[in-house]
Amino acid sequence: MLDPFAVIWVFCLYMMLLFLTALWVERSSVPGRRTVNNPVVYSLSLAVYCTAWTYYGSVGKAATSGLLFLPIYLGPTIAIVMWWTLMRKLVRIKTIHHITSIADFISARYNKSQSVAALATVIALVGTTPYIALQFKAVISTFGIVTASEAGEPSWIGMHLGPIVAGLMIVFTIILGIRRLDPTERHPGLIMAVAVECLVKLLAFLAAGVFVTYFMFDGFGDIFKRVLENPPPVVVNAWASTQSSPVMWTTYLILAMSAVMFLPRQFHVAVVENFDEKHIRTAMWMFPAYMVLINIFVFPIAMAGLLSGYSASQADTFVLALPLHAGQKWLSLLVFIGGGSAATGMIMISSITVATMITNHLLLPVVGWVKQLAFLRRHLLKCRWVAVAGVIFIGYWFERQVGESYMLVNIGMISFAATLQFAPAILGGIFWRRGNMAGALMGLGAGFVVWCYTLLLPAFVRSGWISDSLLNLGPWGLSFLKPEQLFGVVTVDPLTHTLLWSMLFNVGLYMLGSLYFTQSAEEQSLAEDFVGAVTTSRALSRSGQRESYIDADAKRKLIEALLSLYFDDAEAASMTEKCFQAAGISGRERISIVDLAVLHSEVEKILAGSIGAAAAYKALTQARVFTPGEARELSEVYAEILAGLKVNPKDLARKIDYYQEREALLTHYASELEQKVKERTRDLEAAQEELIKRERLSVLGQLTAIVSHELRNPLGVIRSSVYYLARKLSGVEEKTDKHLGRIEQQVGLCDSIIGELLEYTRGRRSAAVQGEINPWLEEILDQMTPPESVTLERSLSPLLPMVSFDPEKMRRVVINLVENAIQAVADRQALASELDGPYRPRISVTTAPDGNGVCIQVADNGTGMNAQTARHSFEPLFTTRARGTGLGLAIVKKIVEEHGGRVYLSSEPNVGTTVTVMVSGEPVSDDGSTMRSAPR
Amino acid sequence: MERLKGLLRQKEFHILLFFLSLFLFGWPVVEFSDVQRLETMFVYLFAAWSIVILLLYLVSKSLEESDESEQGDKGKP
Repeated sequence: MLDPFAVIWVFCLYMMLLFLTALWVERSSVPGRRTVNNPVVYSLSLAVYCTAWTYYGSVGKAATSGLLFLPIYLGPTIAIVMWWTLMRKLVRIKTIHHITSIADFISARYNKSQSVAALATVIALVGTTPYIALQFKAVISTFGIVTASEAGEPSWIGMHLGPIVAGLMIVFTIILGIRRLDPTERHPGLIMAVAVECLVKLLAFLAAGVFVTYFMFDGFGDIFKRVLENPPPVVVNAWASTQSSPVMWTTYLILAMSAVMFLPRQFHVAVVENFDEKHIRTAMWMFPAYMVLINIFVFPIAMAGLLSGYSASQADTFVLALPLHAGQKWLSLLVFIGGGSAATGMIMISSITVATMITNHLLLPVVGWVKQLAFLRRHLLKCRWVAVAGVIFIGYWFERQVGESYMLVNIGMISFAATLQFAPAILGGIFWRRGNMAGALMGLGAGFVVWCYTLLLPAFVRSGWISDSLLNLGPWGLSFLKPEQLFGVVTVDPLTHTLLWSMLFNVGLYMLGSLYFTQSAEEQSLAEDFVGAVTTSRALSRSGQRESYIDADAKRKLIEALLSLYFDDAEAASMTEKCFQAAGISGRERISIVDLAVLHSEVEKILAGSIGAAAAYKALTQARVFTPGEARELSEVYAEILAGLKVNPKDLARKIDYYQEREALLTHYASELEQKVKERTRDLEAAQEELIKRERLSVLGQLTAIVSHELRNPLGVIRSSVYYLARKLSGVEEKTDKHLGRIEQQVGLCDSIIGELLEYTRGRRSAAVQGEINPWLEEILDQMTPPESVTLERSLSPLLPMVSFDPEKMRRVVINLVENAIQAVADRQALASELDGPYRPRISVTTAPDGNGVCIQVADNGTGMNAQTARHSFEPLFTTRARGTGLGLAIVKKIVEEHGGRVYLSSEPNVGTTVTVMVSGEPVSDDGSTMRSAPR
Repeated sequence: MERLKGLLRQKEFHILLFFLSLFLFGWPVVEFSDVQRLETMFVYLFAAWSIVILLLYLVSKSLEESDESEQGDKGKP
């Protein structure tokens, strides 16, 4: 036999490898999920259905009941035929409603009722805990077999194996499955570990089967030949007994069909852990194929054991005992590991799913009622750990308590019968719209009570825990209430008896309750959602799948007629076709109501573009594109969409408010944008006007330059002629001299005007040089000859920086300013003399540093200007004088700006005028900007 | 061939196969009155089981192809 420590070490090592596999899957996030997210892993994980009960118990069942073990696997195969409809629906509902367990599923369908969930949890707990005990029993008993010493004394490990295995299971389950809370309740690492376990148990069982069938015997034919030649009595008895009756067979089939979907662990791996509904397709053949493989050697091993002289009571361990007694220690160890895999996989998945149900549907409602326990909400993960530990420990404790009792041996089918109680509520929930919470509660409750009374209670009696008078005489001597012969039904076996009565009460009360009580609006919506999950999982896709029965041509004519009211016939036809194309229904003879709604929208859009939204809406309303029946169907579509949105009216109103508010904001922004566009357009128009004005001025300037140039020649001739006449006629007559003087004076004035015009309009290229202002300015002032009565003061700062300027151009500036000042003071003096007021005409020219530049100021105490005149003083051709050209200050401004400088004017009537010119110290470019400011 | 695939992927065919499986694996086809039929029943049950699995495999493949062609259609411009 094998060394107990070696066996336990190999088992721990195996579990450690599983843990590392799970860890790798969990850690490698996305790629890891892809590892689990494949149909093979999904199919293998479904094989958690094959527990230690299958692994060891099937052989036992085959030895004692013939082929009666097979319906437990044939039933699932029959059920799986319908999985593409059924399981896909469950998976879709799970995805939409974030279902975490079978209790959660039933609760979600029936108005999210906590009572339904709690009841389902209790059923799952009661049905699962003894099942876990069965797994413990398998591991402990097989460990005893592989490690039994020849002296027959169990090892220390053998004596303490139960707590060791229970402890290991608790640790591994928590580490593999619930290290953290996952809102989807998916455990990719755990599922990978379970898939590996399922593969190991299959390979181990096949290895044992091949060894027994082909190495201990000469194959299937040999075994069957020997059995038929000399049938073991137990086989003959089994074959002859009622246990192999068609009724029993059918009962097993039905129970197994329901178990493969509704056992909590099966629901968990098949529905909750499903990554992709497409995996169901592969599982539909791969999982049955797995079951064929794991069962193909069951009967041969059972017969081989009996033929080898083993007792039928030992048949549960044939798969391990035969290789072991044949001296195949390593094969025995592999078989033990395979059996351990089958047991641990079931324990882990079952304990996790039951723990999830306990915390979600039993603990949390209690926490809600008892305020002192509210703190537990923050410790949900730890609560789940405790729940897992509790479930596993209770399973172990149950195994210790019931041992070899009838209860434990038969718990497999007892558990299946408990699971069957979920079937009406689930199947009714996804196929019958009227199934409601009251019906589900009544059906589940009644089915569970009947199951307890007719199957669980007799199991307790047969285990010796309750007096057998209950079975023989019935409660209080009422024979018609005998648990296994309820209401006098004596013709069927206990299991079939339970199936019949529990289903009668369960289905009957579910239907009666559903028909008698009415659904709330929310429950109706949920029912619609669950029943229509496959064909109508999405409101829009559901709407999109409406029947196409509406005559497209009739609608086309209607729309063409409507558009013809606004456009010519050809255009209306073209626009109609565009609408059909936009709606994606061009060329179709029949369209659905959804297509028609899209078409309607397209027509409204195209029409609104021409006649406005309101008019388009009105026109379409009057056109009656929708008949009353179509309008009603469209309302249904919208109702479905709204139901699919799962929002209550308050939320819907809030969302609509939100979108309206958003639209209002967008409208506001749009109007602001429009305003800005308008302002910008106005600016652009102003700039354009300015540009046109400049262009015109430029043309005018060119014209002026040509005219001025042409005028200078005749003026020159006139001046020469006047000079000649003056010499010839000088002193002849005083009057003649006077007129010749006038002509010469006016010619000079004309020449001056032409000079200014040319200066302003044509200018010349700047010849700026770096120089000092003061000497240049003094030279200009020295050359000027103001009237004697006028005082020309100079106040030139000695600390001026060197500046860049065109001396010739700037000379014109100074001259113009000083001449204007002289004119102003002369005018004021003339007025003052008329009024005899005291007046001393004074002009001051000052310079001062201005940063890097220079400030030249020309001030006078002349007539001054009013504000309006001052404002227009720099505009060309603006003048208040009779003989002025209106170009003096315009030329000043132009030249100063060409130097990158600025010019200011301040004036007050009868006080004086001050003109300030700022010349920059920076080098001046041709366009008048300073080099520093050039990039501007 | 396409017609066969179309048949396999229909829900009605699945329902038919469901009842066929019930018939194949139920009474009276499966019957244990005579122990001498042990081997025959064993062979029959596993053979019938394998045939049902083969049909399920074909159903699975036809559903897969149908899904792929649907996706292909969606991908077309």
